[in-house]
Amino acid sequence: MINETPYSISVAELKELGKDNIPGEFVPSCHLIYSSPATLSYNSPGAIGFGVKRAALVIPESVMLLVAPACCGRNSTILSSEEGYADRMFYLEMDETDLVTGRHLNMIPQAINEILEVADPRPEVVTVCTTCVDALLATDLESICMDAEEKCGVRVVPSYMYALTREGRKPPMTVIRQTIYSLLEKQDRMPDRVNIMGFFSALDPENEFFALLRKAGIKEIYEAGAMDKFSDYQKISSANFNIVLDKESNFAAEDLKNRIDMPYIELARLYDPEKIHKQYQLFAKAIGVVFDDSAYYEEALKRVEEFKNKYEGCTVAIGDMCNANSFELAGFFAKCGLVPKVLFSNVTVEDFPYINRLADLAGDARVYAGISPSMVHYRDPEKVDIAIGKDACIYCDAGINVDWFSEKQPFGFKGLIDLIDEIERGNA
Amino acid sequence: MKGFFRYLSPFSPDQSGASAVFFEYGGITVIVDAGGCTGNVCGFDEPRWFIKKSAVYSAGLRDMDAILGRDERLIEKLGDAVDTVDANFIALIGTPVPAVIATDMTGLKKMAEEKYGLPVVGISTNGMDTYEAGEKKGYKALLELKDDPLFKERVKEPADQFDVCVWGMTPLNIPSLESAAMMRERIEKTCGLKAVTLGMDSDITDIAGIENAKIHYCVSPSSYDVVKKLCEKTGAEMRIGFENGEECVLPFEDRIKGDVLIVHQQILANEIRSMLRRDGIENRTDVVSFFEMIPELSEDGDTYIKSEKEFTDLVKNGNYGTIICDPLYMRALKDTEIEHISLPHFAVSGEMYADENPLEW
Repeated sequence: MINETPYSISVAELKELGKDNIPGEFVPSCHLIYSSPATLSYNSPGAIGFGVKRAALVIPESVMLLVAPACCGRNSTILSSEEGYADRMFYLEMDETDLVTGRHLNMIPQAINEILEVADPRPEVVTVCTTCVDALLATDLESICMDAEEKCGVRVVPSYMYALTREGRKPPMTVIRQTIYSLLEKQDRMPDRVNIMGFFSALDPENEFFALLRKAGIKEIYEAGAMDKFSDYQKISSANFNIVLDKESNFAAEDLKNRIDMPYIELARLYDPEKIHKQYQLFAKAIGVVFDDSAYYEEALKRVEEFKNKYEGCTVAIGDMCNANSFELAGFFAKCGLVPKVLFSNVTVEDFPYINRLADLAGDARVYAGISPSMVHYRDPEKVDIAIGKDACIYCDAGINVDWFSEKQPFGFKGLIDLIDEIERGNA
Repeated sequence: MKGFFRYLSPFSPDQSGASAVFFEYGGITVIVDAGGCTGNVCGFDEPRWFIKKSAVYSAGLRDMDAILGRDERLIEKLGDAVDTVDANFIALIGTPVPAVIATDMTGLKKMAEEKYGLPVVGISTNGMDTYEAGEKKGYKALLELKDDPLFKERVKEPADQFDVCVWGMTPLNIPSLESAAMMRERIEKTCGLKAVTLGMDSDITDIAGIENAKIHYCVSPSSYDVVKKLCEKTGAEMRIGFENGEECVLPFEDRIKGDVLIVHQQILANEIRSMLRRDGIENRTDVVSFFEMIPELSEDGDTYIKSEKEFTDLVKNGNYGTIICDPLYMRALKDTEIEHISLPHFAVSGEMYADENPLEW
């Protein structure tokens, strides 16, 4: 008997099961994975936004040499042109003989020399990226890069696009974050400098966090994603500490702590204004400064009140492909009196504090596992008024659609207000 | 240096070609990978992904699956899909990971058939060959599927018999997604015969009726061998090309200057050459391709290109006045003075230049 019902579970049921019993439908290694147009970026993070290849290019004045079977570089063909980094990607394609002999590895220095001949401007760094094949061949890419660096007279950094390790201890998007900061060398730390890490692209420069930091005496705020020059990038290690905005960067932050004694503090991207305010206060206390965020907080509360009055009772769908944690965002909407109806999201252990809170506010909301094989049958079961997230907008395209997936990263009260503004624009 | 691309980018790989052959047939297609290959196939090499439903899945292999050769886990995972999709067959498509660990696709096929009672094809693509190699394997597997007893039990001959089969019609070979319908119309008009375009706008029952066709068209090199063998077996007539008549025009003929180089899949390129000659353009016209070239369909001056450097040298030294090719190739020819006529090839640039397609057939 064929079951054509896409798998889903209520938030309340998820809370009941708990973080140690996440249903197999949300665990990619448990089943075949469906790549709906909405979940394309799960299977291939580079399909939209940042995957390993583009992420490595966050290092300013770097280029990438992808050493892999042709299929691994295929999406770069289109994306690199659309997103403006085609001139920074080079390819050394493997064939079957290379699998057996490993001779492709011997060609890396020559390939790098050819890159240095044509790349304009000459890069400061060449990132060599290998893929699943070299993972299985246990290629020692670090040694190969050290050898190439010596022969070619340019910094050569290894990076790994090993989709096979996605649910491992160090998945590819975690490791690439470490790679991005791997060239930083220890130097004296300056008390009036901080580094922000977490997203591959820069924060919205107008968000209040920068203003609050400056008022607290921070003169330099570094973000690798906002830098053009390698010499600027090198200043990052003069930061007093790191501010980590995405858990996937924790490993990189820990590495910097161990390697160059740079401590870090974690913050979360939140949309509930009370929680944003509380987080700022805790952060300020932790670093021994005062954050007077009252003006921003009051403005945010005012906008939220207007938003509530207008949209109370509206149904909402939220996806994974948005600049938010879908469960946290759903919790905020529920608090505003909207009705989270549907979430399209993977579920991980880290989501459970938000899931538990959401269960108390909107326990009936259904969570669909976007990667489940059953999603081949998904049809929008009922219209929702507002869809947030690129994937949710594909699944539920009838109402107000807000992708909320820009490269300019929202954060704090400004991020919240901008989201409200986007919903209003979608409603206009 | 062989395999090194300074300017050009990777073309569609063989797994995309194999996947394209089976896309519309209502089977369960499993790309045996960790995830990235499937994302590339669905997101970049299969334009129908966004407009037609197809049960294409990633096997979601992880490191321990590969290291320990846990084929039985993949077979188990198939169960969820089999329970969810009313499929007529399963297609297992290889990628670099199973190639490295020498996965026995025939063995996987047998295990899956035994467990689920569905016909299974296993295609040993490896992600390192280009798309037409995968299509070739896909078409071979299609014929094996046709003769599979499990398939014959499930799929009967088409209700609507057809006389003509067109092979090679995948988005990676043809000017646009409308090309299949346009060609069927032309065949009906010129020959008065009903045609099916296998793999495009095609039903699973068409596979069962393949050997009844009187004429087999081949519109890409990937289908040449299979069509030739089929015609030898059944006595059907083999035709090469797109059956373009006088009403099909090339809108860029007034831009032709000097000698001409056409870069595309060979049969489409040959078609353009024939049309140029039909319309009185007798300039030297050569066809080259980064994809398979059939010697019997080549003329003097036609070449299979093995590397980016070979391509740039050929253009620089070939004294061509005009190049008809995908715009992406021009990245490698920035310093070359030559008239460029845009002819997008999906296997090269995907959707990037789709709206520059000048051909209405």
